[in-house]
Amino acid sequence: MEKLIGNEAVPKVGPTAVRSIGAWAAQAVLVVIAAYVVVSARGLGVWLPQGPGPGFFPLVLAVALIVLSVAWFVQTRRAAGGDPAEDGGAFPRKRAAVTVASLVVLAAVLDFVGFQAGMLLFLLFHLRVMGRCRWLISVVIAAAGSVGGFHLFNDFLLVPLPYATVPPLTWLGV
Amino acid sequence: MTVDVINELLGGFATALSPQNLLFALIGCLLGTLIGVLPGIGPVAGVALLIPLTINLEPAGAIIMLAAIFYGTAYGGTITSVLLNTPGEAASAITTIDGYAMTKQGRAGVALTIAAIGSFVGGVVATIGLVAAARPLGSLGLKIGPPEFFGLMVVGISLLVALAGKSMVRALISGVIGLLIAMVGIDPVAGAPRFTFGSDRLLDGVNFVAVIVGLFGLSEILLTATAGHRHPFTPGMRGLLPTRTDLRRSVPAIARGTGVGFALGLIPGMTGSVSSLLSYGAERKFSRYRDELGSGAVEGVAGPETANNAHANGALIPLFTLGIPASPTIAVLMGAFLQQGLTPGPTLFTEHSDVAWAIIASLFIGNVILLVLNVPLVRLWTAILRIPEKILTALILLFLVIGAYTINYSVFDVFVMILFGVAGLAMRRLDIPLAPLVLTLVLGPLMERSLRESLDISQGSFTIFLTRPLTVGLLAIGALIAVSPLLRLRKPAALNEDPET
Repeated sequence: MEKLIGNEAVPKVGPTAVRSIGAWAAQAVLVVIAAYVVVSARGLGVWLPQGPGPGFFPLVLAVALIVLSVAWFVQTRRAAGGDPAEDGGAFPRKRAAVTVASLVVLAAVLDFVGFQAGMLLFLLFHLRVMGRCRWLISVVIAAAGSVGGFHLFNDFLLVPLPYATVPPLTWLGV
Repeated sequence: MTVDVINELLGGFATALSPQNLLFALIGCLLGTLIGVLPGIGPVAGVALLIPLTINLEPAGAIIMLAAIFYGTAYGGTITSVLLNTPGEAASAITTIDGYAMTKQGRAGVALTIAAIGSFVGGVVATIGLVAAARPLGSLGLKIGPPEFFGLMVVGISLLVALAGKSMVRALISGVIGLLIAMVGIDPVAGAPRFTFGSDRLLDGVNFVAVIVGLFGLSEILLTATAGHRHPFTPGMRGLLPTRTDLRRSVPAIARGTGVGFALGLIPGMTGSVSSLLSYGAERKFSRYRDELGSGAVEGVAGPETANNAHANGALIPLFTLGIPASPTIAVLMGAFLQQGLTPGPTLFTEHSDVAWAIIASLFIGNVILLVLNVPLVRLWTAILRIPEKILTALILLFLVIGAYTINYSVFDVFVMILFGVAGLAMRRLDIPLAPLVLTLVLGPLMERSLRESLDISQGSFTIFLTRPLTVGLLAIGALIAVSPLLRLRKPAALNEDPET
């Protein structure tokens, strides 16, 4: 568990180089997205007799995105090897990845195990495993957040949250 | 004319003072203060997160609550600035200097009370300004057709230049991404589905609440490590009341803060942080006690906090009268208007004048609620600040999931929120500002629809934009704002350091 909480290993390359690689990857992704939009926009119809068609705006935007990505690429090349103070500082990469993964798992099972069971486990994981809170505190807060939250929204605010759809949870009515 | 305005305002008060709407204003003020106090969740994500909860309410009640949340956050941010030396939101950053110094002298209660009084004065004066401006600008509503509306949207979108921060290229990329996200779904004129990848869920577009909660809420959680915890100082009730000297010294600072905040609030693209910074600057220049600034002078709290709230209320004027959101938080508020079927801008006062006046009246009421409630509740807020951050993080994640799920009662929006949380994290790491994306995400569909409706009227001819004087004027203003960086106009230094951009 130490590794989840502790700081990340220091990258072997300098921060500016890491940033440049990140920026280049982002620029490549943006150009790919823009290229996809250009192709789809042409299929939607760019210009109709009565004026611009559904594809007109997306086409203009995609072209703009390509131009801007190239401009950013030029800027990054110029800045590479430049000012390392620009770096935003270390950030908890592994912790962020675990948080995202836990959210994806929660969202994937929410419709099957229901809000109460799913959120109970999610909160327990974040409090006990990630936050290393004591068991008692973790259980009390997780129960209040999941079961308490469910009834607050369902019964009081009339905002329906999902029930479990798989046995044996359905037998418990959670 | 004046009698009409007073009559409509009184009608607005009648609606806003109904027990139900009063309760919404109260809940909004409390939630707003809570969001301002909590670290890790700013006003943008906070307002967005609560939109799903208001979706089933009547339009007036929903907007009253969201507006109260909006200006409540400004007050909550002050509490952490004064008690913890940590601004809860960017606009209160400057308050830490004298506010925390006052706390160390045992005068935290006085600082918070003066901040509340200043916020109240600033907010009320700015709202009076809104009342005065509403009628003349609202009467423009009858002259607004699709081409003029397009002009207004161009002015709104050109503001992303002002929100750009460090790099113009990256700000424009952010703006274009926002517009592209807005393109997903059924095309507003021809009805063709665009970029839906064959999914029925995307026919209505990507929900902007899920996008904003992910971009601003989740990415913030992902970015910050669990920091060490500090215990706030709890002021005793007896220490809350300012002395006569405190009040006398605060009056000029509150007056200057009101002027600075209100004037800058009117200028779209200026954020509350700029107002509070410039107000602190004004105190340093004009205050009789300027030598004491930095070591716990009451002016250093009164000025910036007044400016901050006058700005927040003043910035509603361009939104209500022109439909131009001046900051990312107001863009989210505008999104809430749109979800309720209200289009902010000149037509609001012709089509939904009762709702508009009820909301304006509620601003006065909300400012009173904040003044009356928040000072006695300081103990409650400090108790919340004592909750360890790891527990707060888990609870914020809980609310992010609930907020995203309840948009359409579907996990699809939870996935959208997660996706944009990761995207927001990447954008923050790459120094791509998030503010332009919010602005274009909200304004993009309106701009496209008005452009294409205009061209439908003119049968495809762009000359329609050159033959109507109001449209020409608006487009010229938009173009001027867009090219302003090329003219090398001097930006206030505060803008470059502005954490909100």
